[in-house]
Amino acid sequence: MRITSFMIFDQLKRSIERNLGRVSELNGSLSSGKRIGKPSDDVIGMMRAMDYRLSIDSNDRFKRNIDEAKAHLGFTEGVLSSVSEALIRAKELALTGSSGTQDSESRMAIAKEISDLRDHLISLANSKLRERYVFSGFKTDTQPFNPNTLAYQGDSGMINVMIDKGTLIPINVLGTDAFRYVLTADDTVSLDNGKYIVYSQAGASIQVEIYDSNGTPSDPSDDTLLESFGFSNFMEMLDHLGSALEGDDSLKVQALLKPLDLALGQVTNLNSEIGARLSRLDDQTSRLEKSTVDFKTLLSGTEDADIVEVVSELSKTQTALQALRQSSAEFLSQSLFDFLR
Amino acid sequence: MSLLGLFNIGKSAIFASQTALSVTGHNIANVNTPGYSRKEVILDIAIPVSIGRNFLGRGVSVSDIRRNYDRFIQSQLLIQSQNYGRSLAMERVLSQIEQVFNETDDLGIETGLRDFFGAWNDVVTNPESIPQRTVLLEKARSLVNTIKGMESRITDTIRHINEETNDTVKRINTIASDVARLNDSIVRIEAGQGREKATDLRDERDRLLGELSNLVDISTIEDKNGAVTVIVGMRNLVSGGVTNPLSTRRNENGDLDLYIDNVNVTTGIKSGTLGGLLSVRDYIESNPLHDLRKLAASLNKEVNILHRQGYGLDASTGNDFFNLLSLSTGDFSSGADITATIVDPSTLTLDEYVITFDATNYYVRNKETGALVASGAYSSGSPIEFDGIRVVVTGAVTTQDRFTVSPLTGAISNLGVAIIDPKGIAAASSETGLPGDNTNALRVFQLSEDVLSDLGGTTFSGYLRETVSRIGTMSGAASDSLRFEDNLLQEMKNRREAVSGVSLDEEAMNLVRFQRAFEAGARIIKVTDELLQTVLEL
Repeated sequence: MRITSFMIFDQLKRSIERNLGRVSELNGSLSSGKRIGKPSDDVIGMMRAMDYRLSIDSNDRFKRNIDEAKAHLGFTEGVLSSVSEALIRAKELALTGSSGTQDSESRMAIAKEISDLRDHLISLANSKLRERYVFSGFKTDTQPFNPNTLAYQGDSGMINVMIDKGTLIPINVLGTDAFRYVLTADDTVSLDNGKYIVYSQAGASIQVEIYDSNGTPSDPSDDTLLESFGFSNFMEMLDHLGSALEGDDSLKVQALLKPLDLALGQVTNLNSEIGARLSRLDDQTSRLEKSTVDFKTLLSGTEDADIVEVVSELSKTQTALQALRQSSAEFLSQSLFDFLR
Repeated sequence: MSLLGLFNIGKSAIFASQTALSVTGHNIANVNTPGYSRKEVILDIAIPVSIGRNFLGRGVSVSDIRRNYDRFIQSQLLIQSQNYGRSLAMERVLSQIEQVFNETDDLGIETGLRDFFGAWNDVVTNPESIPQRTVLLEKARSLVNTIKGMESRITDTIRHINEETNDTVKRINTIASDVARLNDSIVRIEAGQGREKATDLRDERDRLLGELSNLVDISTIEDKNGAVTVIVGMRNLVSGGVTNPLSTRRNENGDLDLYIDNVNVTTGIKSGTLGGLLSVRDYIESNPLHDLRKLAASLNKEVNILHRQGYGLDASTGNDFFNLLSLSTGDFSSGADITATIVDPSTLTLDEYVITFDATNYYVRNKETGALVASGAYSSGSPIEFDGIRVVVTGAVTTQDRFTVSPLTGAISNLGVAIIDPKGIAAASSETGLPGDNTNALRVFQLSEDVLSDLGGTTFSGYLRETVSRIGTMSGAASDSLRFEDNLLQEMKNRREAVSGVSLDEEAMNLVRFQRAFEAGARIIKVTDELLQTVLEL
């Protein structure tokens, strides 16, 4: 093949261009730290990177949701602990008050403390986290319990947040669950003096009836109703307890001991359920964190440049470029004309 | 034979060497001229005379100045230039489009989508919070801006392609008229000679044809007079000394079509810069632009369907989150009119439709699946309903008439966030005024994971990923093919160079060779002169 001046020149030019292109590409990788600068550099890698970034992002989002859920549930747990302490204290006071050894003055003092506990329960029930009432369902701008009528003003909305793909967890507890219990069947408690108490569910409230069997427990037809009252939440229950102590109605105080136990049980159960939710959130957090670390490693492996490799490749290319320039300089400046004098 | 004959031999030697030296000089002068073919002097023995029983030479004559040229290589070079021109145009445009979808930096639509749904999630955790709602509106607006920015970068690219098409056509016409002019000159010079004498003009014409084939796919035929006919898309662009210029016209889609002699030759143009531009334009319109619009339309549709069902903090309901999708219609009729409205967004398919007519009936076809979605007897003004769309055509129609209905064309230009007051974001799904109700916001948030039939059974991000991967693959393939075609073109050029190129070393040797020959010729004359002197002094 004939080799002409243009061919040599063109070939050198192209070689230098190719090397310069490679140097600029490597410099780009070096400055961005990325192996993939645009989709066509590595389509599959780019798709994977997009996938990993999406997963990392949604993990971060789920973690934020979990933090929010933990804040709510932790706060609620604290409130419910106070509620159970108040109920325990109320039970102690009820037992003291019903022992019959108290004079009216000390009974009045106990009744006063019960009334304080009731007010404490109301303020606990109307607790706010930031600007949000925690026990009123979706009606977060409304006090769950009216301080005067003690009626429940919230609704049954459960506020769910997503903590994983397709997994929702409620972050609130309803006032109707935290400050009320529900009887599934009527309950009868006999007292040793021939009297007995019947607890039954009437709508949203618990109905308490105290009967005297008049000596013949086997024959209900001659029983007389001594007293009946109802309450639809713990605050109303404490109201009754207070008034019973004030009126020295030991029978009524006795009749309220069992509801106090049930109330305490309800709150304790609820709190352990919240505890379970919280520990599930903790598990989920560590799962998400581990998966984020995994994804970040994968992402880095997919799109990050191996700096050592890039640098050595760069110096290799630069050396080649140097050699090429040197040889071109010599080659292009010489021709037969130099020797024909 | 006389002594004067010796003079003539000397003269022929000097003349031949001088010619050879000027050809060498011409070669050296044109060492860097593109398209130049090395010339060579062909020397012949001058016809001898008979002297008695012997023949005596009469020196040398220049029989031809030959052009070193290989017709086969030249024609292959033309074809390769066309492929190269096409690849170059495609690579150039696709690498621009690829940058529009470049998600390696955190500024693209992928990030926009993530932030948008992330903001919905923050509303889920704090449905009553105005700051979170304001952030959501902000993120939605920024997503809309990102999408609009991407669309305008793509449409700008298409506009540039159209402008470049026009420029290329102008360049083609200029070259074509130069070729026609050269055709005339070559025919005139070579008339009656029977050989390719107009060597430099032919070089120039070959160079122009090379440039032309870089721009558009041509085929060339040389007639016996030396004129070249250049054919583009089955029509003569150049025929002898006549040019039929290429022209552009806008077609019904707003794109440029190419015409020669009032005949549409667009489909015949497959390679060269022009072919590359046409095909990459069609690709962009039917792929990245279409995909981006579909994504935006689908986001709009799905979010709105859910948002309409929800309630805002201000008890508002039935409102759209994004501006309602609007339909664009294309009217390719002689006298009829069309209006199209969306009656049921939930059954909308986001495909484009074509309405055609025969003598009595109308036919509505889905442009993407080809399925017939509605048909019936045509009556002016009566509504036609299909896939959530109501179309009313009024006026007389002919069988040539055609209408198109597209929810995509304006999907991005009309995109906007319709909700202004953050309280209007419908996070609640039941009753009015429940600040803690996040059920609807949760549903919108879950959209980000939903598989959508409009998007071919993928999620928003999945669809985006597919789009990006298609563009990346296409652009990667274009740059690979450019490298391949470039190497091939280089190989062809080298082969042409090997035959036609000028080597300075070779010319240096020729220079010395012919200089010596010239000197020797001159010496013959000098010797002859001395001989004559000797004779005259007798």
